[in-house]
Amino acid sequence: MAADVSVVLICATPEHVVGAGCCGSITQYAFSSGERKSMPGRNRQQLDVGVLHRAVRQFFSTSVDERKRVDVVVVDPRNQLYLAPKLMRDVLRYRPGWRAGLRTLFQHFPLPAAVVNGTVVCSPRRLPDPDQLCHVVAERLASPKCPVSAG
Amino acid sequence: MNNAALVTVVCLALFGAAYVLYGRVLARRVFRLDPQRSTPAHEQEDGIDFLPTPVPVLFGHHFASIAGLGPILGPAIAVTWGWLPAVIWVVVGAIFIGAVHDLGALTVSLRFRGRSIGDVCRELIGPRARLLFLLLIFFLMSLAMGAFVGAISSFFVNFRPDAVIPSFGLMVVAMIVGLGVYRFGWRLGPTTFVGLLAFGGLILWGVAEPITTYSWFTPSETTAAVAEARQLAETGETDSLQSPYGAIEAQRYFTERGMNEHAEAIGAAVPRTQLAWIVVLLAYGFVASVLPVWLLLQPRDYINSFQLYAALALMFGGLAVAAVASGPENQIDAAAVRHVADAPPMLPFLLVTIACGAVSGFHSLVSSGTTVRQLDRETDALPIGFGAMLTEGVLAVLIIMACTAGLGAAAWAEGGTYASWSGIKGSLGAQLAAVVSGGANFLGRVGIPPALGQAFLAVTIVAFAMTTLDSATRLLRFNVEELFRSMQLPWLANRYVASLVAVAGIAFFALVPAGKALWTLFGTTNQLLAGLTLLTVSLFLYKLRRPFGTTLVTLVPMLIMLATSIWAMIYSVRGFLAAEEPIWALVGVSCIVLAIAAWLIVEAILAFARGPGDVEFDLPARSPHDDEQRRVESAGHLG
Repeated sequence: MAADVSVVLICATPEHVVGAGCCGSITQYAFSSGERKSMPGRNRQQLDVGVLHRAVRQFFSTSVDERKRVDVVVVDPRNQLYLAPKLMRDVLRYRPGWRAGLRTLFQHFPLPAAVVNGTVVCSPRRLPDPDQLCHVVAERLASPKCPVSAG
Repeated sequence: MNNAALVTVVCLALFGAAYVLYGRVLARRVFRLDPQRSTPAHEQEDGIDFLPTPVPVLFGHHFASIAGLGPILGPAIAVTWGWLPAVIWVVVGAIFIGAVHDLGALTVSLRFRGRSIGDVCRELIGPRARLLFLLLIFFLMSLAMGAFVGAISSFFVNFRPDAVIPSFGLMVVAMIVGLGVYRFGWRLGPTTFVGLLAFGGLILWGVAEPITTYSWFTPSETTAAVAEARQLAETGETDSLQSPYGAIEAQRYFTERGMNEHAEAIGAAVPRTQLAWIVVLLAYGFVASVLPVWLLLQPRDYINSFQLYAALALMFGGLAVAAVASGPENQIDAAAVRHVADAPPMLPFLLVTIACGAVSGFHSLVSSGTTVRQLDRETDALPIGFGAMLTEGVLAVLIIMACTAGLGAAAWAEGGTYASWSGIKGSLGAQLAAVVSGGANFLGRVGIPPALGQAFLAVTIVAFAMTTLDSATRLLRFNVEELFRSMQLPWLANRYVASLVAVAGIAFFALVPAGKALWTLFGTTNQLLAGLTLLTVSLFLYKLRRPFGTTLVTLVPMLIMLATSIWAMIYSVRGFLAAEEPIWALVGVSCIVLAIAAWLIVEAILAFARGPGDVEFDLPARSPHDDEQRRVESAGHLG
């Protein structure tokens, strides 16, 4: 079942290394003794995306109408096999307008990025803060276009 | 049964049936995956390491992480014994051992709150087990990287001088793309488009200007003769030096014309040129392992991801077109089973030569290190752990077809690449060249000119090797740091000392003139790690008091992997000792690896002897990220 609101957070993850698995993906957890250490090279962006992900998940899992579903997913830009079709599906389903839709389809946004219902909601080089993102999601849920609200 | 497309389709059908039938049995009856049980991604959700992720996303991440040069090089060597044994081992190994191994490692790690397989090993077997695991991994990665560095140096010098410009140019393009996208806020889509255009341009440049590095080490007369031969080739003269003018081809050209002094000079220059390349690659590995990941690794990897999917899609497309058009590329030219006089016995060496592609111990690190922390539901372990391994098996089958059908009959005739185990000069590089030529013939079926197709595949393979080299050097660095800490030597556990030790380990193996023996030693160590991981999984099932019948699905593969790898290791040691000039370095390493494995097995037997049910699964949770948690909660006032 498609979600009422689809949030796609796009951010590179150092641990996912293409073509490295048979000889070691870049994961330090194989060696660290279980505690989370700061990944060398892990940048602030990844932490910020993590905060957004948790904010949307925590807030919209408890405080909104249970009939409405908010999907949030963090995708590495290297995973284009998933990302490109996902953005296209969101644009076709939520119809954000031709300009916003084209911007999303052609991935005309910097990294990290947040895309809500096929619309890019981040400004250049700056993700929305958790408040802003949750407001955007809440607006989309309340919108008459939202299937449940409309119904 | 010499129809490559038909064989591929049959393999696909077997993999599909195995997923539906055997995979589900494993998930339900053996590992008892429960979609209602909470996963570490939910229990410890932080949106960074622990985040519930949909199956298609996680599959893409996981598959890209496990599919690399391993399932390309191993099958390309193993077809020396014929295509049929290689295909059978890939299919049977992937279904009954590799996929069970990956799913088992993922499940065990799930129940231990997403901890690594090394940590789980410590919990189940004992504290020494983790240290032994670390040591084993050090040798494993050093061996693999040594083999890769040797293969790539040979590849550049002997076979594909046209890959030099695009391979290193790609690094520059990727760094610019990476800096732009990750640091300067350039738009992802347009930047990627320009980056891929530049990559295409680099390939064209590489095809037009192959860099014959061996001629930098030849006398001036030979260098001039090579240049003259290249000029003649460019004018289109028949029977001239063939592009891309590798050292093997240049030696053939001069020998056929009776210009033996030039052929000998090139032959003498090859080892020095390869040594120079090895030094360059090692220096690259060191620099890349200490640089931040966003500067080099991540951006190059971004471009690599397009190469991986494009190469797979084009090769599959080419094979399909060849099948429909009944083209020669669809005809398997290799014998089903071959006896090659100088090759080691098929058993056990086939089972260790194709490691990745059938079963790989390294997958346990990927499964338990990163993937497990993102599983949304326990049952997702089936498509991720089991499914991704089968997909890697498909990649291995495609490579087997590229070498046995796409490459053409000449490679299997006398004097061809696969005429003997030692092959034509260049050793592992020859196998890479075989994949490139065979794959490019598939690409030719979808309209890509041979020269471009070969250059594209060559650069893709080199890019995999380079990515693997820098990520593995970095991983080795972490390993060495952890080893030093475990040995109470924390002052040595810094990035520069650890990187130097890591590079020294790789250099040790890269400089050993062992050729394919190095690859089989790597495969043996990798299979040993797989066997030990299966031992851990079996112990886990035993501790859970699962019926003996169900634990057989991990116990039998474990016994097969341990027995074949120890058998192959002992056979290799005998071979190293029997050589005219014994390779003492490899003898020593083999004995150390065997001793580590034996110790681990003894520790595991002791753990079995302690009886079932004495393991504590409810390990303490990690401390939350307090500062980030406050930011999350601050959003809670909304509404």
